[in-house]
Amino acid sequence: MEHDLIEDEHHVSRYCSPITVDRNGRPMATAFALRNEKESLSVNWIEYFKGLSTEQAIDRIRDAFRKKNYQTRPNGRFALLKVYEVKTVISDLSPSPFKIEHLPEGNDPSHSGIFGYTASDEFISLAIKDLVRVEDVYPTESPE
Amino acid sequence: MRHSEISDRTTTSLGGDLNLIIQIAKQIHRKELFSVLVPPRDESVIEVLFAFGFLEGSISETRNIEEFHDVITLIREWSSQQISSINPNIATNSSEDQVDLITQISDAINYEEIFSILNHVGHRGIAERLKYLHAITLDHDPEDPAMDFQSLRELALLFVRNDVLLPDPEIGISPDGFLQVEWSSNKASALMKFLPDGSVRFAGISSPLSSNEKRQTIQGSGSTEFALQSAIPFIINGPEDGTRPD
Repeated sequence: MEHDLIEDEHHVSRYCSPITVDRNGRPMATAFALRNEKESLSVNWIEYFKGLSTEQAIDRIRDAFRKKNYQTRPNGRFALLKVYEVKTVISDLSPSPFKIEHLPEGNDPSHSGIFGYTASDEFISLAIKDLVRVEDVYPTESPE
Repeated sequence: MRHSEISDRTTTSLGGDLNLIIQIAKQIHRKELFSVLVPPRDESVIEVLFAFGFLEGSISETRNIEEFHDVITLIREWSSQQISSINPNIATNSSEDQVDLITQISDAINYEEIFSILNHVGHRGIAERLKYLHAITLDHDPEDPAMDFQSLRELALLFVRNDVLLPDPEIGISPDGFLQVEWSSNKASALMKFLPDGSVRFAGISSPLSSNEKRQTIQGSGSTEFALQSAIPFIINGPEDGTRPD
């Protein structure tokens, strides 16, 4: 349901455009930086797709991006984050209250937002980037 | 474009010879806990001069850094020679050449000119990455900001400097279109974002050694010099050198 808080043991994915992905295909801190006017970082809730594997859920998210005409690029990536780890990082480093809230959009039912830091908290974007392991990085194109 | 050699007979107003100056320089670099070469902080120079017995009294006394101008100049020249020996691909330039490069970058009117200068002075990897990023942003994806030209200029001015040798960073573009360089190791991560007004946003964070350890963080903004000196303890030296930010 809209505005549901996502549980600690769940996961979210973040689309990282090619200008935020390094030469080795790893998301950089700038992939997790907020735009000045934004209150939250856009992510997708993986467990929203009940019964699906992470790969299958990310495939649904790719579909949602297509349906809302959001162009993902071949050199972009999806980064998978554990909610508990993001919560730990933000709660430790930021005075603002942390939450990941389900914020569904028309064609993007799993859309959610990470709250608890601002555009000028660059060290938090560094800390979130450090949470992403190699196995947490998925291509923007569905592997056939 | 080789730097003129420092003469063994070089002396300073403090009466030190070259060997002594190099000892001081090494001490300063060791004190600042990094192997990359950047101009020493004024405070470090003063602290080391105390340690070598050149100065007496309280270290907290306010002193005019101009007093140490020739020492700092020699240390910078020594650093340039070290850079050349560590990475011969990076050209070290005479003061005149350096001024030329800075002028060329400051006067550049298009992106390609700056890519070309970086390539010319040996920063091929950085130049190629910037070209790639620029090409992506030319696709006019509404979700991706264009690369800010003034931000590119500021980044280039840092990397053509004689007295700075940094590991090649990863380079990306921030949501507001400014170039952001990042370094990571298993001990710390750091970033610098080049703003069009010539200032730099910087941030650093140490990796936790244990779950109980509080992570060390830094962030702020200021001149390139200030940002570099602030972020340097978080910029990688390699995991084995025992470096930890203060």
